[in-house]
Amino acid sequence: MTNGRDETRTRIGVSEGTDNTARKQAEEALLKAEALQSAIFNSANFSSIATDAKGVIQIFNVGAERMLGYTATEVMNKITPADISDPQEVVARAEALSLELGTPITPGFEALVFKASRGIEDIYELTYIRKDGSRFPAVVSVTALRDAKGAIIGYLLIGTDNTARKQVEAEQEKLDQRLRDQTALLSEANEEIQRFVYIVSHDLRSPLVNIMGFASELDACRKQIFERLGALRAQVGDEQDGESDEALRSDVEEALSFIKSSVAKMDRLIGALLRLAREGQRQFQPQLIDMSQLLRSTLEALAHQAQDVDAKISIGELPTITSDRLALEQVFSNLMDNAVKYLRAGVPGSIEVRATESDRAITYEVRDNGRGIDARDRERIFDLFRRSGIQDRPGAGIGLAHARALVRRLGGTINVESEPDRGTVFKVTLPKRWPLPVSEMVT
Amino acid sequence: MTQPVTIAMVEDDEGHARLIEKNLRRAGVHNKIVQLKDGATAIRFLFGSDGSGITNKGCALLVLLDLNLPDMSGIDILRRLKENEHLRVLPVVVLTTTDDKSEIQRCYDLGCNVYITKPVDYEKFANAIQQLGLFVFVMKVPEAM
Repeated sequence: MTNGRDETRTRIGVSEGTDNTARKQAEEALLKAEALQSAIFNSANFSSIATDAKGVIQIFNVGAERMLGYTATEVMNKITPADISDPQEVVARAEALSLELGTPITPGFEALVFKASRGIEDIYELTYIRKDGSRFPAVVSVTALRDAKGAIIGYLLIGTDNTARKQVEAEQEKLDQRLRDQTALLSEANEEIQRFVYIVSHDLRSPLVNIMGFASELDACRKQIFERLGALRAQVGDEQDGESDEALRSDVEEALSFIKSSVAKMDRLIGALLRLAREGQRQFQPQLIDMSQLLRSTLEALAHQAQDVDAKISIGELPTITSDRLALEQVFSNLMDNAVKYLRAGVPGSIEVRATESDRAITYEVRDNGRGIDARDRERIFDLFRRSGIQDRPGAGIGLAHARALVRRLGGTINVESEPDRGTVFKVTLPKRWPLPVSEMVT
Repeated sequence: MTQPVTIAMVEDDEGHARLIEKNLRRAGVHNKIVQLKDGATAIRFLFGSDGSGITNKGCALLVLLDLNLPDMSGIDILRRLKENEHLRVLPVVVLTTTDDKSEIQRCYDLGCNVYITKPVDYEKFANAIQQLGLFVFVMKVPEAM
């Protein structure tokens, strides 16, 4: 039997008898080596198993005894580490190694040490089986032991119990799975809402065709009725009630015109809902976007309006982002459009776009010196069909609702800060990269 | 002399049917109109009791098709018409509230002749039906074989 300790002694033996200093150094080295060895072999937290060249166990330390439940005498000179390893894993490892290294490797001890025998550093995960048949995951590091000439005289397998880490990994996997499930549920719910909105808006439109159609038919009848009434009165020479006829005619006309204008309005709202639903179904195409350039082209589209209201717009250097271009164009053109639309009369407009950057997110700010938004409206303005302040500008109350829906789908947030008669800042915070990896999603 | 065209109007909404008929008449279309109020009734009328479609082979029929039917999608009726050896020659006009681009494309891909959206604006609605009237006038009736 040979092991590391013998080798050390042999080598030290060679240097014996030179001089006292050398001997003293050698003795110190020996002491050190023995202290190190004893520390390793008595460690209760590492299982150290040394074998001979054929794999038969020669050393089985305290840690190995503790982890595996055998006493050293029960295994020494009797079995190999393959006998205390999961046999299926040993077979699988032999197959994988045969394939990887292109040489047949027998499922057994050879599979556990083959790489080490070729001088390849080898650390692998393996299931050890205790004396009582219970099992535990281990991480095993294998080193070949060589004599002075480099010939293999055995192997050292140092193992640690991997149970705790495996549990953490399993917990993490469970969490990830739950997150994936929830994300899937959420997107399913979202799709259902989209489908719902789509179907409902179509079905709502159908009766509108009738209301509008028959109101128009009634309107046509109205004209004929009053013409005939007039003609009849003329025939019988009754001119007295002409005035009350006129009142009746204008009442009917008013009623029909309210019906028609309301139907037209409802049709516009349904149309807006439909567009939102369609937009919500669009698949995002993430790409790297030069935001300064995107904002500048948004500005070009607004240049005319901005000039009309004497507004200066400045766009700072903005960090790039990986996101959906069309969605961001819609979000920012909406914010810029609002900024230009709701300036104060007689005050030169000043609109500014800038950005701040953190680890994973960028906040883009669109700041204006316009009329501002009353505190009680700051949530409402993000609701569909809701608007704020004096209704002296065209609009349907869709833009900000749409912007918020898009920003949310892109994993971001949109907020407003405002002071009436001073100005408004819209802050859009977006992840630097979309889509987010599962681990970063917020539920 | 070819036989006059009969219009098979597949339309579940009574009001729409009435408005379409009124406007067709105003446009000078006096052909016979048969209203079919749901998908099943339409299938029975078009494909006959044996479902083969042979009873309407060579008939001068124009199918006016709404897509949103209570019991099936008009698209299914369109597909079955265009897959049927006796009926695939029948002209089909899709007349519906849906203005979704992909839906329109799907109908053309399946072989519909004209796709008309029913607008809420009545003037546009009347115009659309007038266009349809023109189509009825110029329509080529499949020759009886």
